[in-house]
Amino acid sequence: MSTMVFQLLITGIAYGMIYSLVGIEYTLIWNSSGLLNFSHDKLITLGAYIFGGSMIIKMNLSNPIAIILTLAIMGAVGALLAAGIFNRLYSMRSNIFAIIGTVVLAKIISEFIRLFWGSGNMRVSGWLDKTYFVGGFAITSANIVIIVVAVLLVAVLEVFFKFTKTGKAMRCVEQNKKAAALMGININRSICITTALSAMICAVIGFLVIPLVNISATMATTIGLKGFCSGVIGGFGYIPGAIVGGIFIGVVENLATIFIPAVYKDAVSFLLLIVFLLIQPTGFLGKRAQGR
Amino acid sequence: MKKLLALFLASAMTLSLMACGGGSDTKGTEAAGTEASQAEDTKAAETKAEGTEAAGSEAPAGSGETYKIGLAAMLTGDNALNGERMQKASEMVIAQYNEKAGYEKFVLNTEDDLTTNEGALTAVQKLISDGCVAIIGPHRSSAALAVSDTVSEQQVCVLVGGTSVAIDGSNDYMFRTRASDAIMATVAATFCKDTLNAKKVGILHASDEYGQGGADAAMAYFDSQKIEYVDCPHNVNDVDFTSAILECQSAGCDTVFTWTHDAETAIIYQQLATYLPDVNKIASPGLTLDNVLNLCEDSWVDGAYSVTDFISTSTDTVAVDFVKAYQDLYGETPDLYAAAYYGAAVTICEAVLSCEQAGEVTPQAVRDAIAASQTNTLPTGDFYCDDVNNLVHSCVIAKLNGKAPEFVQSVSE
Amino acid sequence: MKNKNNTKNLIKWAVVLALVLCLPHIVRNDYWMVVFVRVLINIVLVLGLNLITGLIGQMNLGSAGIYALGAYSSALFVKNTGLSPWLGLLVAVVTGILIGLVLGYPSLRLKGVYFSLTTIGFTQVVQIFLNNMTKVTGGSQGLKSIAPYSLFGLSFDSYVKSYYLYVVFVLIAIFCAVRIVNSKWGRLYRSLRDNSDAVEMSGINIADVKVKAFIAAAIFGTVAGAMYAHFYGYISPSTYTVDISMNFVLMLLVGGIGSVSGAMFGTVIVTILPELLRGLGNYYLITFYIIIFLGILFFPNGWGEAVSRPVKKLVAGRKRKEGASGEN
Repeated sequence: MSTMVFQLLITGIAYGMIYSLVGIEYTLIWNSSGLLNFSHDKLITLGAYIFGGSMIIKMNLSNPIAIILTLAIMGAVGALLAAGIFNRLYSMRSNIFAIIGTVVLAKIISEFIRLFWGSGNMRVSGWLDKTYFVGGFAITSANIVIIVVAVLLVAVLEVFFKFTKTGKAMRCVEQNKKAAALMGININRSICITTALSAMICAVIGFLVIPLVNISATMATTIGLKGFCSGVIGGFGYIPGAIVGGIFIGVVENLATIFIPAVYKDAVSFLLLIVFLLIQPTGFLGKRAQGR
Repeated sequence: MKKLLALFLASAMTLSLMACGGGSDTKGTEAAGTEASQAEDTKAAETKAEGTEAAGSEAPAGSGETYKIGLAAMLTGDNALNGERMQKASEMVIAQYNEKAGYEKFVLNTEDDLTTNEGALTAVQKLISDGCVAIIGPHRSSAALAVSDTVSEQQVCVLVGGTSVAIDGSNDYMFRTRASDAIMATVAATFCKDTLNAKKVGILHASDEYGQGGADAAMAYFDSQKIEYVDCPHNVNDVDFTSAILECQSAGCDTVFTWTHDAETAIIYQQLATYLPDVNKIASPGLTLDNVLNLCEDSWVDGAYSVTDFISTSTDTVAVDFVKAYQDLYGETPDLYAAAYYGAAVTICEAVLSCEQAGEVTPQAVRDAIAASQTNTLPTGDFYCDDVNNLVHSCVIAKLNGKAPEFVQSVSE
Repeated sequence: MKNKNNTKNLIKWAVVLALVLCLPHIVRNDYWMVVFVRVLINIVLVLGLNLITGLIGQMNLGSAGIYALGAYSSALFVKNTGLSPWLGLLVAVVTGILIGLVLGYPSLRLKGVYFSLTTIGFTQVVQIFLNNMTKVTGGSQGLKSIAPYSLFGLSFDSYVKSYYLYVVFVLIAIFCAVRIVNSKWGRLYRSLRDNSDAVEMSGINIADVKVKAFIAAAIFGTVAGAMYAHFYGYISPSTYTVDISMNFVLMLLVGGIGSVSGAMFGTVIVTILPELLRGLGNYYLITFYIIIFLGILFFPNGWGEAVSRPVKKLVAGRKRKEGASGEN
């Protein structure tokens, strides 16, 4: 029994980290433009397809080069999306446009993926697929790498926001657009950078989940929705909140399977989401309840 | 603003009316209904004209009639690979029969069902309205159930791949071109008991109609044989099966029985290799698909068994010929879906030919011909119609050697 | 002036209605009849959605859950009791009221995306439970052989008959929707969307008004669900995904948020356009979505605007004011 609990705990933390990263990735866009990006799961999928489908399987590049190239491409995709689409969507009169706009964008991306890479699933052989046995527990290299990369990424982001000029400018925009504009910060440029950053984090999530879920059109659907839950439970629009919320969901839903049938695992996350919204809409760490 | 919208609404309605009304002019020429899109009309007319020309010049055998066969498949969305295979296999059959006839005797009308039940009904209805004599697909059981009433009212038959037990043969216009879940899963369960000597089985299955149908049949068998089992359902698109596998582990299962979809099967086998490597494994047909095996390492699947319709390494001459022809045409190995729908398309073409000889080709006649069809050996086994409208009555048990499925035995019901 | 406008409007509606009534006789194609019936069912739901999303400005992504509960409540009632589907419709309405109460109260506290996320959660939970509570709902196999509506011994079992019956449903729905939109309620809803604090300060009980809006909207949704169940005769949980919820909002958006005719127009476009594009084969779906996407980017007030823009210049002043007040 304790083996099982421990094993579920490890899986839970690894998945939780993924949810946290998803939480961070959309919180960045939300903070800079007030846009809830519903196409984020397709951006994760796109990153995985570019990395696995094109770079590794088709062009046979080595892992580091493939990672760098994919990050560069996804960054460019993000910046283009921001300049061409998000900048337009966020200024519309209601956030309904922004949400549905990104939903339709997601449809376009997923049809594009089908037409470009075909409809079969893919796997990157030899990518983070080792398993270590430590005292009777199985720990996969994917789980270790996920936890390490997630922690590193959070640290890097923290440094970026605290100590670089661009990062500081982005925080200004988040706090008060009008004041930021008056201070001579170019808001549209700031949104471009944030979206590019967010798309790159999506690509990283894509790399990390390949060994867990393989590359397929639906690989990120559940992860994407759980990411939204993690944001709400931790505190919406607040990056440390997304991290705490993600790990909380990951652990709770996995441990819950000891007591309830596994088919209700997803229901646990969504019920938690609803309960939190009703009782504690600011989440664990939320500073403010603000729904634009 | 509102007025303008109303005006626009009216003009949109009128436009769509014109589009549809244009079709109704041609009503007289088509046997079974009117056309919706003018483009389709001209295309059909062209093929018809070509057909008559060709028939006149070189093929005295054919009367020059052209028959439309419908295909409703999942061509977009997450399961597009399945639809692609259905389409390729059907097109291959049509080409073969057209070559035999010496002109374009058969035309395949393909419609996307959007992987929804509504979409399936719309697609099938479009195919019926376009005058198809019989329809291949839809593939999913719930889509088949959604079109059930329509096809029996309009008396055009569908050859579905839905393996659910809910398709029970009560509809005269619905034939099943794959062995049902009940048959396949029972075969798998029997194999667990007889060959693998299972004492306790972990059943990992999807909670949708496919996985549940298979698991129900297996559980019924295990109950009757007093074999213990652990029931572990999961939702479609789940990506983490750790808890289910650990449950099997702590229950002490010696055999794992999986009945689920392609992506899930691959992940389950990966996680089984991590957490529970030393058990006997038997899986639903998906495990023999390249689409799944490409996602697995040799060591994950080596030694696992699968119950399936068809394996491409079969040594049966019909199957070998089919695999070769398919590879020559498309440069890839056919999977079980291609094989199953190849059989469906052949059955329809044969039925149409026999109707033609009898003098009348109507959807009703084609249905009757399929219902009366005699044994025809095809890649997925002998096709003949039994009293619950099943066309296929056998399945294959394969063992994976590395990633290559090897034939173990063939089981007929 | 006002009177003249009304007469013009009446004439237009009459022409549209006449066209709608003649449609089955002109088209005479079962495939298009299925598509039209789909349009009718969707219109009822989108008219309801318009009350929450269009008027109050709360983005409801739980339509699929409401739709599903309407379909299942009516179908299960009829199947288990063997009574008339009309009573099933009544059950669906009661279900709608219950959902409205359940969704309405939380929406008092939740704004913007919080509400959207809750309704997504609601849809997911509904689907998971429908799928797994096999004993009650038939599980993933779904429910089949659901009886069609019948009246005085006349069964609405063919497409054309269902079409006419559903035209009547839609007319009733339009009547109710127009009444709500143009009533004191409707004005109140719009002012809630634009500035709820101001409304509260004028001494109006916002909570009460919002809950009423939700109940009305949920009834539209559950009735549409029942219409679906008794038309198709088969329902299964796999139909009711977040995806279709999004699709319903899309319909509202394409037509222009907030107006009854806009909601109807958008529904017609989003349901029929993919069918018209089928000829493009492999590329039809991506073409459809790109068209819709461009529409959202360039004609955010609905596609009617694309046509009316030149005309609109004449009334530009009024329009600009509306746009400004909608900003947030």
